Amino acid sequence: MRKVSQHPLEVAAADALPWNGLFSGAVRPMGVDSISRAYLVIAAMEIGTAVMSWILIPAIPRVPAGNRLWLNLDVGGIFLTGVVCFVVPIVMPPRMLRRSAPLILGYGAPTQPLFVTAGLLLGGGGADPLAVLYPMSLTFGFYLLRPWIALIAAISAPAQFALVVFLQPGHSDPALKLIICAIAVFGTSGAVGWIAGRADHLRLEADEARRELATLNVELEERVAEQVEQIRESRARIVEASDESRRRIERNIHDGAQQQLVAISLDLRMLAEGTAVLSPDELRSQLDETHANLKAALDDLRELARGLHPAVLSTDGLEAALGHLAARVPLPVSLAAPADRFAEHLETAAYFVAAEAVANAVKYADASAIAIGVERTDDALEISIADDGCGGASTTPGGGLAGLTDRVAALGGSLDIVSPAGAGTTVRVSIPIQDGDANRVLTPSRMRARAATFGDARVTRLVRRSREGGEQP
Amino acid sequence: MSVLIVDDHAMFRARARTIVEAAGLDVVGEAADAASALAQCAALHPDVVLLDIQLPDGDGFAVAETLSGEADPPAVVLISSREALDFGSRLRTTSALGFIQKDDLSRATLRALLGEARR
Repeated sequence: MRKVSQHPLEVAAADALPWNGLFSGAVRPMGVDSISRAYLVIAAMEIGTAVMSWILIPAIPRVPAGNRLWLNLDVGGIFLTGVVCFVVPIVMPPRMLRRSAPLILGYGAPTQPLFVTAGLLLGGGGADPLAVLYPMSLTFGFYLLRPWIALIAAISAPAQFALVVFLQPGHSDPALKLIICAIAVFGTSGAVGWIAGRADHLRLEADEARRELATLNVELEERVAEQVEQIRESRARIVEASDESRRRIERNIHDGAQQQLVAISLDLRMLAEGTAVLSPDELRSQLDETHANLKAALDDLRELARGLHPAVLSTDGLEAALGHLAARVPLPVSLAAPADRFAEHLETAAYFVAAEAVANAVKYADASAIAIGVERTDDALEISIADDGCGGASTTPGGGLAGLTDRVAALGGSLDIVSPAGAGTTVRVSIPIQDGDANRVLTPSRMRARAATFGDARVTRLVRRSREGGEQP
Repeated sequence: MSVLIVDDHAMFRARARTIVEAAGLDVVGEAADAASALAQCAALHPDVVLLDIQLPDGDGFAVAETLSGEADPPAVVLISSREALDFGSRLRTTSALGFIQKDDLSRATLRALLGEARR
């Protein structure tokens, strides 16, 4: 079983070695088709080797008769192995085939050279030269149908064969022959295994990286699509909120100042036309009343204009504007704000968030006190408005705070409401100060945090590149 | 001639009453929304309804249509603090007798409009 905690590349590396599964038990899952192919390749190799050996054995010079019997028996074993490998994938159920493959293919390859060496020792130095083909064929089979590995095996197998034949009795010292045989067997299959393993490692690493990158791309695409959708919705809401606020302003003008001015106009005409016969005192008091109505209408207009944009915000900044706001509220308001000036869009957003939150506190929260706090951090302007009212507040779609949430989001900031029932309401807003960050959908810090979860410097680099590539027009 | 004044602003109703009475007409009732306007018309049968176009529960055009379908419909004078142009085609197709911009409401305008109705 593959261990979950292992990095995919480590698993891939372990799988790629010819002796895989011997120590760790970690085996790359193979399909039944691949396993069947492997068996068939082994079968072909074994049977071919056996047939070739039976043809060649009589030609080997100076082999004692006893050893010649050994050789024939051994080649018989090779032939039998080939037949078994041919039959196994046909008769074995797929599930068992998949389970046994690591054992036979994985353990078989590295253990074969041991038997070969033992055979050489037991055969008195003359036996089993052809058995070196065992590990070669198994190694080859294990690596399935990769042509270039087959080429190496095809070249190295006859070379070993020639070497062993050359080292038959009479040619040299049996001990030396044994050592050379062992080096040839282990060395060649080891080299094949190492090269194949290395190639596999690289290929699997590349595959893994490609897969990871593809997954990441899909995720990124989904995230971008999601954000585009969010932006589209938020834009629609901003437009809607803007229309709604125009309608509200029109209503306010119509119901407030306009009605008052109509009344004043009618009053003045009635006075001018002498609709009622008035004494000088009555006339004066009528004019006083009209004047008071006119002042009220002007106050209404001023209030309306301030609601659109408080002039003091432009002239003296956020602290002054919040001070005026606090002064108009019929509740004690504590204000802690720096006298710094900020970019206009920051001051405006901060002011209207505070104004809306204060208006809500006055209208709905049944609060007895309000605290407004403004703080400048390294990279953000943070505003909090807290009341001690009844709590339980939330943004309602189309409501004032929902509109402000979109406005703040459009500036790359966030708006949070903490309002447990019975324990007051705190509205917190954080708006980044850097202009460059405001309109970036994926901020670098967010992307770094995202990439860091992959724990791979290469993937991070690829991600950054794809992000930067995506930003270019 | 009896008049019903329909407007949601008390401030305006008070002044309209003075002007209507100065024009020699009788104010028989006041209403602040469409529903009570219809109810008072049914109860009082006024000759003239001074009807604000924007009402909290509907608009004056609809009220005028409803009234025009009655057996002995009153003459409806639409009023608004907006100008006539704001209402476009709706003013051209209404069954109401006429329209007076609120700040133009006076003995003279009332007499001009209602004098036409009498002829």
